[in-house]
Amino acid sequence: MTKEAKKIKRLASIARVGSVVDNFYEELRQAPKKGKKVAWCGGWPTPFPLLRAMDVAYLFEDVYAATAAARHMEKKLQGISADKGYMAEVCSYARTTLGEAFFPEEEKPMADPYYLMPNPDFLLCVDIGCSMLPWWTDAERRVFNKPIFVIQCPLVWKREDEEEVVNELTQQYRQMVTFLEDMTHTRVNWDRFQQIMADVREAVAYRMEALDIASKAIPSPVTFFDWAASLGITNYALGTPLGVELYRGIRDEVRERVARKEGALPEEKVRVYWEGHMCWPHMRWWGELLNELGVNVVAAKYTHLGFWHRPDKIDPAKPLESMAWNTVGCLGYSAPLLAEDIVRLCRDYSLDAVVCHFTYTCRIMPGLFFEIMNIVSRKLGIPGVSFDGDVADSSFFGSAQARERIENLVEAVLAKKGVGKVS
Amino acid sequence: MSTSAGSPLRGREEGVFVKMRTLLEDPYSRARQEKEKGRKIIGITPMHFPEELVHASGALPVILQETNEPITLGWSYSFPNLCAFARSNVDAAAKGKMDFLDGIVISDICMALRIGFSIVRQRTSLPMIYTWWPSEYKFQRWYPIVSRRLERCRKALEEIVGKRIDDQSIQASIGLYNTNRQLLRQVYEIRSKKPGVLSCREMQELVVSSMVMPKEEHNRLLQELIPKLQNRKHSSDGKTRLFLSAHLCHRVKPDLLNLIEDMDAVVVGDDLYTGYRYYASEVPSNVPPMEAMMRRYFDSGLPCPTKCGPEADWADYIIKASSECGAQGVIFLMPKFCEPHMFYYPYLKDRLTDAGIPHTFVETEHSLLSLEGIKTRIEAFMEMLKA
Repeated sequence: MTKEAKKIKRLASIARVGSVVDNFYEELRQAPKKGKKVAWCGGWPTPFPLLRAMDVAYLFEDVYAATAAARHMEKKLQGISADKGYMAEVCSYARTTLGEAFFPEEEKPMADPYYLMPNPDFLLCVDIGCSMLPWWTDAERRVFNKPIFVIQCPLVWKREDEEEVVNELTQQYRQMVTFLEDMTHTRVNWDRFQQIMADVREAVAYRMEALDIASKAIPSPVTFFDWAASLGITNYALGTPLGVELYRGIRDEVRERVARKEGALPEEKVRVYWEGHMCWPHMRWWGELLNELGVNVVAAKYTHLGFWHRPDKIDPAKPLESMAWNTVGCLGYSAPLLAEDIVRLCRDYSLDAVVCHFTYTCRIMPGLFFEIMNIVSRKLGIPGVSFDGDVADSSFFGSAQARERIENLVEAVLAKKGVGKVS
Repeated sequence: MSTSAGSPLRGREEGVFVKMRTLLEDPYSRARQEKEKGRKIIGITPMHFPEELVHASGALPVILQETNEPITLGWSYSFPNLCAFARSNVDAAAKGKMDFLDGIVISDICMALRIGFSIVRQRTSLPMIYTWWPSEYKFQRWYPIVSRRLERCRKALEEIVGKRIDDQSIQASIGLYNTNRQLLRQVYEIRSKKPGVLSCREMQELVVSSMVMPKEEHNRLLQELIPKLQNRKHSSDGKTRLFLSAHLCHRVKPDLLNLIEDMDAVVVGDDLYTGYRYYASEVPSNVPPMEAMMRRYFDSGLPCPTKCGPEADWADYIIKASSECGAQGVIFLMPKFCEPHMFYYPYLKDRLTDAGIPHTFVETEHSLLSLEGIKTRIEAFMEMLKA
């Protein structure tokens, strides 16, 4: 096979995401000059429709840190937070944005624009089961001395608890409206909020439809990395007509590729589920390795079980309830319930194995992997493997170990399929 | 390395500590005795769940501990970045060492506990009650949610124990537990006024034993001990006075406490969980008992880094508390991977530095591979304080 032929077929329709991201940050930098309030938001991206409805500019901290890592700009910020005393074991997303919070004024005139985010007028946090999030936001409160508002999601211990948790979250979002009205001295425009929520529903319905079509197809026409990149639309353009247009474009392209039976990889030998975070500093490396081995990540917690993944639970007439339903994300469920979802994805999408990214500085995302694998293996008889790394700190990643683990997994899957060794 | 800070206590007082020390080595031995008598035993995760609610059911509440047992089987189920408390309990569950319990109340205040006990749930067949607490001090905001969840917990406990838990029983339990807190505070005050009258290790033994044995019995032991402590002569002349801070959820290794006090130092105050934090405040007696227990969570006497917001500032507290007890320096003890402390520490460090309070930091782990490195750092800190 020629080198050219081995290239991954990227989705053409995600090409605009980069400019959406850049435009978003440029607008954010300009927001204070336009008299807009600025919120720093950590956690889950559920408050954004409300913030849009109230014309509040926001820095979504988790994605700011992820983007920094994907662009290899995280080390500068993590170095600043280390100098302030934040240890390497602290969440690397948090260390990245704390670096931004402590960014030295004297360095700003010469700094890359990505490091020049406006300071917050207030801080928001949506904790979906990662208690670190309020502590991270509180650390920033101590830096900026600004008000803080926290949404917290108790664990859905049993399936029948789900509705109660949603009611509790709805109650909290109602309080968030009051908080934002106090902060902005304006009333929320409910008509606008509902229209935004309608756009959210339309956009995420396209996203989930595209995911489903692509994940069912063999070979799958999309890679995990394109799906992860497409989350930029959720994080930066959700609740806008542009968001709808972009996700519709992705859905259409996926449909066309499936009709042509066109896979994203030159040869898809093994189809896997990816548990845990992306490995943002090493995206290119992962893309190349998986392509080389013929492994396609067809489904993932990150893409399939979060980020407004339940359009059926969005009712524009009830925007707060809609936010609440989509706050109970992948981290809000106990191990047996989460395993049910993963078993369903593995079964529906004909997956051969599970890969877990053990994120050294994150306790919650990979934390239940062994228990989930016990359930998944028992029910489906498929293998799983984990590798060490981190979501945004490259110092915890060892490429040799990761390669070896994935190669071994592929050997095992192919042996089971009776199709021989890795080429 | 083995060290032993000399106890100034002799005779019967020393006997009290021998009894309590046994409970550090085998924290559930007393609970197992109660079990043999037919009493139900309910494990509770630290740090905030009101033990009174379990006690009122007739069961014995025990605060689950990080034990001395090396973690082995537990590694099959958890990654290494959970704190030692969570890993130790996963290991205990995997080895069947929680089987003497009749149930566990998970008090969700931290994701390490949430993850750790989600794994424990998979490793045991014990009934488990999930309770949840918000990371804020705002009682009014969270009262509707917390009260509904605590009420549900009461019903779940009733099912396990097979007995209705009425308000009167809870009120009686609150009285018993408040007495324990008062007695422990008396000991704390004696130690502050007469540094060295009992060692830091012994102070911790008093608290940990309180967490795992019947409170009625513990109160009797304290009532016996306190007059003897008051009358005991002591000398801390020339010793460096220290304040120990942090170490949430789990106890400090006794060897580490001994090491600190063996270096010509005396601990005069602390805010450790297995210390002052456990008994700093009482459940108020002027409101209905279920509400009263919730109120203690939101106003537990000293700031807790698991909660956020401007209502309480841990640095303010440490600066005031360490100054009031005449401490010359503060040692922060942090279990590895303790996220709430890791997030607060840089701020604490800066604030104490600004306040002119010398401080140092020691990270602890389940298996202390060597105390020598810690010893060198603490020695250097002591020399700085004496200079």
